[in-house]
Amino acid sequence: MTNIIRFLESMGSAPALSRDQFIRTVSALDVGQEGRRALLDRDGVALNKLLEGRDELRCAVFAEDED
Amino acid sequence: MMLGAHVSPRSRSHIEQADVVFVLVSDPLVELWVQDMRPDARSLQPYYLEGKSRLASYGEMVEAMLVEVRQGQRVCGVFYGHPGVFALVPHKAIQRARDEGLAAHMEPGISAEDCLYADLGIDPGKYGCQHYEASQLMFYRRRIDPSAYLVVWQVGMAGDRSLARFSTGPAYRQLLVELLGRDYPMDHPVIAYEAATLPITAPRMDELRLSELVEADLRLQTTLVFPPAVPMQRNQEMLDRLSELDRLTRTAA
Repeated sequence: MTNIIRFLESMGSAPALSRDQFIRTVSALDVGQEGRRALLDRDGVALNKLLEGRDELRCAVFAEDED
Repeated sequence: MMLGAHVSPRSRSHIEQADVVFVLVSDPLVELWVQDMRPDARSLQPYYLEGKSRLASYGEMVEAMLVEVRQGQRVCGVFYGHPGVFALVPHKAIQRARDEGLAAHMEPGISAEDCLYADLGIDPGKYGCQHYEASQLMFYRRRIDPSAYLVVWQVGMAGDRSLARFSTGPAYRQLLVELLGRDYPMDHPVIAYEAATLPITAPRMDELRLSELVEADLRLQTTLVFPPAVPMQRNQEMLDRLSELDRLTRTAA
């Protein structure tokens, strides 16, 4: 499943894929049927579920009132 | 932080070369990405618990990193976006390390604020731009300038005084809306913004009205952007004084 992360990483660093190129590239990936579907649907929730990432991720590391 | 996009070569080098890597980011796939780079990366997520003071969690996160630093390890903390923007833990960790005579350094990153300017086409220099954390805006008497942009962060947990919740509700947001209603009309446009964290998804940029915020879907990562409500007022007194200064300068020359 690191193939999905590596693909996302490549998309992040070189995003100039046209829609057709994106579909062709995803179709050729070795990520399984569900992974392909989630990528084509641009469904981050489905990808996370597939990769067994955390259900809930908290991102607050700021205290509005330290006192 | 967008997966694959928003990490500088220097930051990536630190992640790859550190002895110990801690990670706290805003998207589970981004966490998996960091763990793909460093399978031994330690998530700071387990320190959060609903009902537990976030200040206690933050203290434990800082201590977890400092334990390794004190043992002579090269420690890298990976924090969402910019580690120094709306982020207490990285600042505290660096301060504590330096207080103990240990070297510490922060690498800048690309924050949601940076993404916001790009996605919404806003130049903070055009009219000026104020940034407030939502609860802090409610807890303290601040002077909002409605002729500048206003950006309100962490609106999903606006008004939480317990520091132990990760969301509040419409009743709390109603108070925030009433507060903002002193400076903005209730039909003033507001953009609910969330930066894209994956290269295959789009940012959220929903235009609402101020009055609609009470019932809107506002999450921890949602930021509110208020365009100016009134034109900037020229400070004629200061302009006159500057003209006089110019005249005196020319005369002296």
